[in-house]
This record gives sequence, C-alpha cells and structure tokens, in this order.
Amino acid sequence: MAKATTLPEKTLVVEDHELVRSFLASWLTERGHNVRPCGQEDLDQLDHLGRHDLVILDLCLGDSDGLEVLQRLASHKFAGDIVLISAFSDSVIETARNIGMDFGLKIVGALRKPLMLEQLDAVLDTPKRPRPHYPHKPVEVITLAMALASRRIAFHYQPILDARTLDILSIEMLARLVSPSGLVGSVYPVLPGASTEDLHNLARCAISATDDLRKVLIASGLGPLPVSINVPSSFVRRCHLFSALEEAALPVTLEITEQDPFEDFNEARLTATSAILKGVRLSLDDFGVANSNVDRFMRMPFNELKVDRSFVSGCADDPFRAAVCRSAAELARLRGAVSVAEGVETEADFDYLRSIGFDRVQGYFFSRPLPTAALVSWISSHRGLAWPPAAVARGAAAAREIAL
Amino acid sequence: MTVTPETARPELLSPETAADMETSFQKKMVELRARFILRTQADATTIRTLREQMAGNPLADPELLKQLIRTVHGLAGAAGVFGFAQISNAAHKLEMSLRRIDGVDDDPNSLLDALETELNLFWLKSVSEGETWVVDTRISG
Repeated sequence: MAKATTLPEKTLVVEDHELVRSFLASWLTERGHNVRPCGQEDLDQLDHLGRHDLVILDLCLGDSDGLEVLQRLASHKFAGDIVLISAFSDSVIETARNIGMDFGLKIVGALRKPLMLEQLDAVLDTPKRPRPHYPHKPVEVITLAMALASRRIAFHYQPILDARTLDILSIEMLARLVSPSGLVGSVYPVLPGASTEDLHNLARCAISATDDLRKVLIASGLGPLPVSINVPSSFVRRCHLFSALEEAALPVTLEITEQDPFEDFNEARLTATSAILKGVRLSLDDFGVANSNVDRFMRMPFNELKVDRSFVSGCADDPFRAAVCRSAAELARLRGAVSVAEGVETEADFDYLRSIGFDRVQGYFFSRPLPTAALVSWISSHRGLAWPPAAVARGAAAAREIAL
Repeated sequence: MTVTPETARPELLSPETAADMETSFQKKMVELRARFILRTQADATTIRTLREQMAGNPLADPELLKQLIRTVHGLAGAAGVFGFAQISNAAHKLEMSLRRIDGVDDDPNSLLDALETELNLFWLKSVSEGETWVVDTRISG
C-alpha cells in the first residue's frame, strides 16, 4: 500500500540488472511512486530531473559506476533526494556518500545489498523537512583582521561536563563573528584566509575575554569556572604564550588545534611543559584529524585528549567510529590524561561514550554554545536540576550511586 | 534425483497459489520471481562456460574475469532482493574474491564450487517446495 508521505514527483531507479530494476520499480510503484526505470542505456534521463525527484542509485553499474552518475547529477545541480545502494562494504558506501555530499548532492540514505526492503522503506518514509528559503543576500567580504579591528568578534560558551556526574567542569569559549546588523554567526568563514598573526590575536582576544566572563559568573553567584580556549600550534612559543596568559582571569585549558604543525617542536615542547608547570592545562583538540595525531599526543605532555566530533557523532551505531573512540579513551588513560568527547548529539552516543570510560562530554545533547546571559541561565538551571532530561538524570543518578 | 537447470522450471511454482494473489503487484512479484529462476539458469550456464574457458585459473584472463564478475555481481544483487540469501551471500563472497577485495585467502575456485552448490540446492527446492516460494513473495509493508 502507498504510504501517506510526501512522494517525489518521479523516482528514477538507476540499476543495471534488469530484474532488480523491475523489482524495485514494481515495489515503489506499489507505494505510490511515479517510477522511471533507468538502465545503463537510459542515463540521459539523469539530465532531466527536478528538485522534487528521487534517484535510487546502484553504485555498481556494469561498465560505468555510480560515482560517474553522481558527478553527472552534480553537473546539473540536481537538488532532489538520492538513495545509494551497493554490494560493497560499508566504508565504500559511506565514502561514496561523502563524495556525493561534497558534490553538493542530497544523499538521504546509503544502503548495503542484499537490499533489505524494510531499510529502504524506512529511508523513504523519513519525513522530509521543507527546505528553508533564504532570501538572497550579498555576501559580506571580511577578514579576521578586519573583524578583530572592528570588534566584531564575540564569544559563545559551551559547557564541558563530567561524563558520570554531569557536573560542569569547564566551559569552551568559541569565537563568533558578529554582522553589522548584530547577527551572530560562525567565525569559520574568515579562518582559512587568516594570517598566523591574526590567529594569535584571536587567541589573545579570547584570553582577554575571560575577565568579562569571570565578572559575570561571580556577579551571578555561580563562581568562577575554568575555560578552554582554542589556540593554533604556532601560538605555543614562549614569546607568544606567557605574555598572553597574564591576561587570563580564569583557569585556562589551551586546546591546541589541528590545522598547523609546530613551527619548532623542541621549543613548543619546552613552552608547553613550562606552561603546565605554571598551572595551565593543555588539551590536544580534534584528535584524529590533521596534525592532532598519536605522535603529537605521545611526544607532548597533554593533560587532555579531545576526540574530534567526526568520530564522536554516531559512534553508538558505527563500529569504526566506536573503535576510534575506544582507542582514544584508552590512549588517554595510558598517558594519565583526561578524555573528552566533543560533538555529543544523541543519548545513544552519550551512553556509549560513558560506557567506554570517557571522562568528559560536550555537545548539543547537553547544550549548544550559548551567549553569556544564556550560559548563566543554563548553569543555574543545570545546577538546580531543572535540567537535564529525565533519561540523562537517571543515568547520572545511577552513576552517582555507583560512585558512592 | 539429480537437479539441473533444465529440471527446475518456473512453471512448477504452484499456479493455484499464484491465482490466489489478489493484486497486480503480487502477480508481478510472482512473475519476476519466475523470471529470476530462469535467469539463474542462464547465469549458471554463463558461469560454467566461463569456468571452462578459464581452465582452472579465474584470474588469468582479464576479459573473462570481467564477464564473470558482471554475472556474479548481478546474481548476488538479484538473489538478495528476491529473498534468496544463501545464493546472494555465496555470489557476493565470490564477487569480492574475484575483485580481490577480501584478500588472497579466498580461493575463487572453491567459492565458485560453493555458488554452484547453492544454485543446485535452490533448483532442488524449486522442484520440491515451489508453493512456499510463492507465499514468500508477499512483501511486507
């Protein structure tokens, strides 16, 4: 029977095996789809699709392959949904999915053969949210240097929690770009073109901003909390670090980001060790990505290992991500460091991370990055146990009992 | 009884049961499944012919290997969607071996033998349990 969901205008089944194509076409037709079977000889149909159409694509198409089809769809700026199917391993399907998404395509599902019709049904029945319509706005050209000079950098704050007790242990400061009209957005668009000096100035700006945060926390009766601040590797030099840290009004964890290598490893190690001896905590941020690797973790005395969100998000359901998280937690334990998972967005991921012994968690499941006033409110309600949700509270209560 | 592709005929699917199918969709499924059985016979013939040409070394001739992979790939996918997991798994394992994806430990010849065994069992079942298949074509949901 056809399901009561919004159906695509037409559904293209791109599959080289005639029987499988016919089977899927019949099955989809039964569900109310307007199906267009598409074999290798009919690929011209790909050039005439609209944004309300659906493509079900077998990645293995005899002489050609599904990636060529994705390229073709991308060249026509196809804006409809795509479901990938393949007999190849999950890693191949997942990579193909990522390639398609990098092309700008909307891959709504990636399924492994033998095809389970229940899985396809679930993908097709997932409610589609209408795409928001953004009015065309001229893109503002601004650099990080300009944003800093015009005081258009603000900070939002995301709590980092004890994974067992859910106590607030620190707050990560995340830079935001403020538009001329006062809208606050991500700072990432201005980072790629930023000079090393600009990035250092951003780090100094964050360290200086701890004074304002401290005043607000104390005025609100919440007391001071440690903060985590992102700094580039090139900032870990004696000439940069110690003068900047004199401005810190709260205990600081420096999260060394993954983008750049250390300019002078020996000096960086000396500076980092010296900073730790002075009471600064050092965190290896975005572990598993670019320069945030095992070698760096082994050779520097990091207090903290912070696993990149790309491994954390979905770790409960993905064996590979789960293995990376387990390994990271074990590496941290072996070095006597604290393990932190950032990007925790679901209860399932949180439960899994806690079960494998992560020390700290951070992410949208608990709180998004908040402006100062909202942070104060969030901390107040969190400590008053008006939050978290019941499921998390039950978990925390159980954890406390175990701890006792 | 020795089962060959020729003795396993799609018309052995119970016509009475098929007649009970109420919708054109279910009839279509029955028809497609019957065509799948015929297709397995054609695929088996293709595989047997290719094996003879390959003379015991499936990886020696790239063009023959390509044809074999194509046939086995199609068989794996089709068997999967029609609900024949054993054939699909055997064909998939062979395909991955022929593509040298799962390493060199899997001997393609023994996997080819395993696939042929599965196909023989499948045809044997088509003779003895055809009615069950027809009932199986009812797709949930």
